[in-house]
Amino acid sequence: MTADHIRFAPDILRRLGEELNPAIDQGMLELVKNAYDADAHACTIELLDVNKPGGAITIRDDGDGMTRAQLRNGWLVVGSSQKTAMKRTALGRVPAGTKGLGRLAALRLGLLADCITRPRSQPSRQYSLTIDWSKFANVSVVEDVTLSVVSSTRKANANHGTEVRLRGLRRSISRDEILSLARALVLLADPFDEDPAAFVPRLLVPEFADLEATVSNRFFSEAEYHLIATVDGSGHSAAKVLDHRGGILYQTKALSAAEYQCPSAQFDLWTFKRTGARFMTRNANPSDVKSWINSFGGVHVYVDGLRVQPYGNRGDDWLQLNLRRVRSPEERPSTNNSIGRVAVQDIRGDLAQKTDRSGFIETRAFLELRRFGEDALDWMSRERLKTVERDRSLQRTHAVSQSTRAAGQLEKAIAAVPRAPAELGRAFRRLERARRQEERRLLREVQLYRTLSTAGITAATFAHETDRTTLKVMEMAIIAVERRAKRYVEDYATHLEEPITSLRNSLDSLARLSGLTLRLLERDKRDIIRVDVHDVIRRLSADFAPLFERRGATYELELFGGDPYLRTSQAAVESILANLLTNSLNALRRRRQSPRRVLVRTAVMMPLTLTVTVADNGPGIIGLSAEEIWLPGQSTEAGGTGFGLTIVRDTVHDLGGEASVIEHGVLGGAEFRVTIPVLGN
Amino acid sequence: MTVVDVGHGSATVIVTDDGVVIVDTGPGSALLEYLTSQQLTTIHTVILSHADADHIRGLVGLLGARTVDVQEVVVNADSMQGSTTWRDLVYELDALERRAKDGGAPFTFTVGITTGYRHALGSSIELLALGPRQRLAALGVGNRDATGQEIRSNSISAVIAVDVNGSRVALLGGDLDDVGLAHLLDDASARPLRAPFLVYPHHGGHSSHRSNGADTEVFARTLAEVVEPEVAIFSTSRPPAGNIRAETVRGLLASMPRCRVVCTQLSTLCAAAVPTTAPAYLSDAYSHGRDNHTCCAGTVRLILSSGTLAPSAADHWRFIEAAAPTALCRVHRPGSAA
Amino acid sequence: MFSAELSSESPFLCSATEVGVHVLDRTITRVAVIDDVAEARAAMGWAVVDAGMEALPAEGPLNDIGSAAVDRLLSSVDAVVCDHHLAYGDYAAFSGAELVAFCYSRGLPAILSTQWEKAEIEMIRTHRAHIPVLVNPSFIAEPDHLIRALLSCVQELSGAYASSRRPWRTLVRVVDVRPSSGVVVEVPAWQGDEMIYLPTEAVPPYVGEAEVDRRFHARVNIGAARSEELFFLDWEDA
Repeated sequence: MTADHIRFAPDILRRLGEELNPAIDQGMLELVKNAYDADAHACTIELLDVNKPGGAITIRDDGDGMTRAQLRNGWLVVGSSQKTAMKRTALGRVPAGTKGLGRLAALRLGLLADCITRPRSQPSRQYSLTIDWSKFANVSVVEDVTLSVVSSTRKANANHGTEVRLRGLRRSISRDEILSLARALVLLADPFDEDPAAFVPRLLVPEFADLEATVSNRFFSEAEYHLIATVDGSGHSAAKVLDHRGGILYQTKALSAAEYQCPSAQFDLWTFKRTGARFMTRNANPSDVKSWINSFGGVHVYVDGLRVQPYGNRGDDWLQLNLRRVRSPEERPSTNNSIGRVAVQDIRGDLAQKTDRSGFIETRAFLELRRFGEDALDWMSRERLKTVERDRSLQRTHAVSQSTRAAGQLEKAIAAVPRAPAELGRAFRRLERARRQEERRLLREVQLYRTLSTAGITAATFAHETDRTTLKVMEMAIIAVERRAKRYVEDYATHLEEPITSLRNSLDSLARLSGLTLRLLERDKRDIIRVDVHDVIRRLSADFAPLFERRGATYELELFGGDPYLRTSQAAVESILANLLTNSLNALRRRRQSPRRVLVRTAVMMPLTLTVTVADNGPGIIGLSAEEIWLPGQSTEAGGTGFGLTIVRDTVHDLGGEASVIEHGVLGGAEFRVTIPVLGN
Repeated sequence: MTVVDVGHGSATVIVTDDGVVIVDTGPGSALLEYLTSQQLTTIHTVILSHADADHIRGLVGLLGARTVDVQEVVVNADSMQGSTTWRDLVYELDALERRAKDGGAPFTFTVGITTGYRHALGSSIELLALGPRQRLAALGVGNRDATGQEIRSNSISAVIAVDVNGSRVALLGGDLDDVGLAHLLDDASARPLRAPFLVYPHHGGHSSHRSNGADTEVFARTLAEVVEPEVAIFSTSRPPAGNIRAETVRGLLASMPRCRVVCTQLSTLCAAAVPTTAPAYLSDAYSHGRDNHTCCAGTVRLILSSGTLAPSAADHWRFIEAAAPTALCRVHRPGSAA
Repeated sequence: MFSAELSSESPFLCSATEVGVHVLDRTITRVAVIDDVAEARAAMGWAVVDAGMEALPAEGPLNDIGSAAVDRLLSSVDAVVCDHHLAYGDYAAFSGAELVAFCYSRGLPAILSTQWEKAEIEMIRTHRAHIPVLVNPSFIAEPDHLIRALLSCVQELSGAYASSRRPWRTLVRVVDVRPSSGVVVEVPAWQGDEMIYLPTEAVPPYVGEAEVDRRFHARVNIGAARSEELFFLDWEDA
């Protein structure tokens, strides 16, 4: 009686191979890792005619090779691994290959796969084997295809090692895939280390040479800062930041009070200085540095010297450098300006990789490793911010003392002139008085700016608490009240419908108003971009609409039929219009008769010159001259800051335009006219 | 032949044993969803009735997705040449060409469809362009024709007849406007427009750039007089995007009082409120309005050989009676009680 | 007691039991309500209760997303309703978008609410592929809207993507570059013509540094009706 077995249909090979490992580079990497595990120093991958189906790939290494038994019990067994994480190779490497599924996918790239291997332990032997995948098509179970390992005598000059040939490729390999494979190979063994005994895989295509040259550039000495953070096996951390000469800028003995429960690791991050798209370098060509960082930027992870994907791949930002940068943009590295690696010695094997080779399973050890990296980044940015702040206040003090010193020097010089006319001394004192006056005025203006900015910052910072959250709760509550009242209260329509509806309507208009401040402060509104003026006017008008409604004023918008645009920030255009509208609404408080009106009109008087008119039917300009009205701090309105129109004038000047006012314009009240050059209509 | 419910826009897919042809590609992912739901992976020809930015966008989406192999693209007119959207299309076409060179499926690209353009699908089905005439297309967008009418991109929209075994079954109206129709009528003795099934031009919206209701009604009446459709199919979406107009339906039914009106989606003019459920007759084929319950007929399928249309008139009518209290096709039918 | 209201909406997909709501093949009984403000948690809880489920307002602090507190919370519920802003009070070290995306990876239905500030939408977009439903909080204060939102989550988790959520490889063109902050792109195949702002950290470096008019491919849900629904995955370097 024979024993029964579960046997597998050949289709399982496709499922386990191609479906589990769709990307070519993953499969190839598995074959290369086999070479690493065999203690190879060199491993070459050669591609032949792969731009169309039918091509070939050869992977050749100078490793230990395999005996017949190893070939049979290891290489040919899918899904098992003779390697254990704890057992190291003769060279002290931690075996990197896994269950062999990636290898299966790679071997199945072609219709035929050959393996020729020359074991180190048997200097005269060579074993070869060919797998013809088409044979699997005609059998019912995998085991029905017999394979034969041929033993032969090795040529005299043939060194030990293994060669795998994939022939008759099922599909073409695109340039993108080759590039991706090249990049993965360059990064596979830590290229940031200079270890002559290291494992060096090479892809024999020109793109690889380019990439390899790029990685070997090693522009580390061009870095502005070099962060080195370490965590040892018992979870203690330390970190320092070096400048480009290797001097210690900052140092700490512990990144966190709590110990990190992760394997011991070192985190290196080199951050480069750039302004806009250009890197600031000392010796190297900025564009070389740029392409180096473009190709290899990001924080890569190496476990026992071998890279783990996808960390640091394009698009992978596992330490959230970029997100952190957004939260506090100052003095933060991003994947665009830094390059780094985390080298882990995983002696206990705490970090487990996912079967599909898409990174680590999110175990405690991995989350802790990530926390270690993130803490190091946060620490560095805190230290750097402190320095920047110190520099800033130094500059301020320096500027004031410079001016006082200069005045003193001038006074001494005048005194030293023999028989200096008294007129000169008097003139100097007049100048000095005027300068002091100007200084005091500027200080007052600065104080006003600071007060207003503080109000704005406070409003923006706490908008979430002050109105957004409160409003949200009120809206949800009134919806619940209405629903439950309808369900549980008799005579709902008689007693409750009206007050509840009124409450809902009021909340609606409150909700529309509450966003206005925050919208004015949106971050990207200060970017210099192409700004469509009509677009900004329309949006701001919509934001102001509820305010006009509240103030019982009608708002008339007359835009001419073009789309004038210029290069500036949306905030600039908003500042002009918002202040003029606020000004008009304030003036209308003093109008006793209905209706209250505000008119905004755009027109093109001269080519490429836009005129924006804001007119109201308020009392017009009284109590101040048409000149004084623009000065800071001048206001006839109770509670007015006297600053809005100053901002209008200054902003218009910045845009190269002119602002003017007519005391009693088209609607009888003040009429402001702003003329700015535009790039097109 | 299927008029896919793509929301705002249109796409007609003709599937035969000899290949798949698509006329217009709708916006967004609707056509891709439809093709996936029908497991259609090879498209032999994509025809754009005209080259408005909106129509180019749909084609850019179809080519970019790479879920279907497109072997031939025929775009009518090149009025958009030089625009960013046109360059988007060219970018995708370049990519397609590179893939063809890399061993992918071969493909061809042609600009310009005018009267006389023919595309045979096997031995029985033929697509035939009835317009625009060469001289109208040659003048191009922005010029005026001999009668002084301004030529817009809709004026030179291709109008494509679908013939089965030599007899006319359907007319695909593209985005034809009143100027284009005048030229078709001019040619009508040589190329009759009569067809039992009409995929109505421009989603039933305004038929004149003057956006004038009276012009739109006259257009509908005139078009219906010459085409004499038994069924008019409107690829229209529920507003705000949609645009079928009461004048269109009124004009159509004035000329052809018994013509069946089939809209992919339910206009707000027909039902102010969205029905609580989607119509039961929607098939497995993708309909853009299915999830939001904005379908009227949804995706409409016409079997060219037999002239059978799904959904059936009876099912469709039951849904309209239940869900569309102010249905245009009922309100404007001559003799209707409403 | 609520079954009549619910069944009128989606007769086959949802129904209410004594406590809990059947959504497709799941019964949702306990719903965690996550918000950094206690009153807001309570207010959202009323909708959950009126929809026939049990509301579990989550007390803080929740620490970071990998913390035991979060794990305990998520393990004890069948669904989550979460506001985007969580980090203001001493409540959580993550945003609602991050948490909802985390729930998605655990197969837990989760609804994200926000009050549609532009900056929020931009931050949320980074995670949007894993956020099936994004709504205004007052919208899901209506129980039937809440149930429908849960249905959408469950459908997507079970693999049935709404057409507005399915990503397709498509052309993306850079229309403006904002130094140090991000890029503005247009998606030609998408039905809208709005430009989409993507912060630098939401795109690969080669996109963030691209010049105007460069074209890339990415997978985008071009069936989306509104710009705030769009997400971008798998950029391809052209």
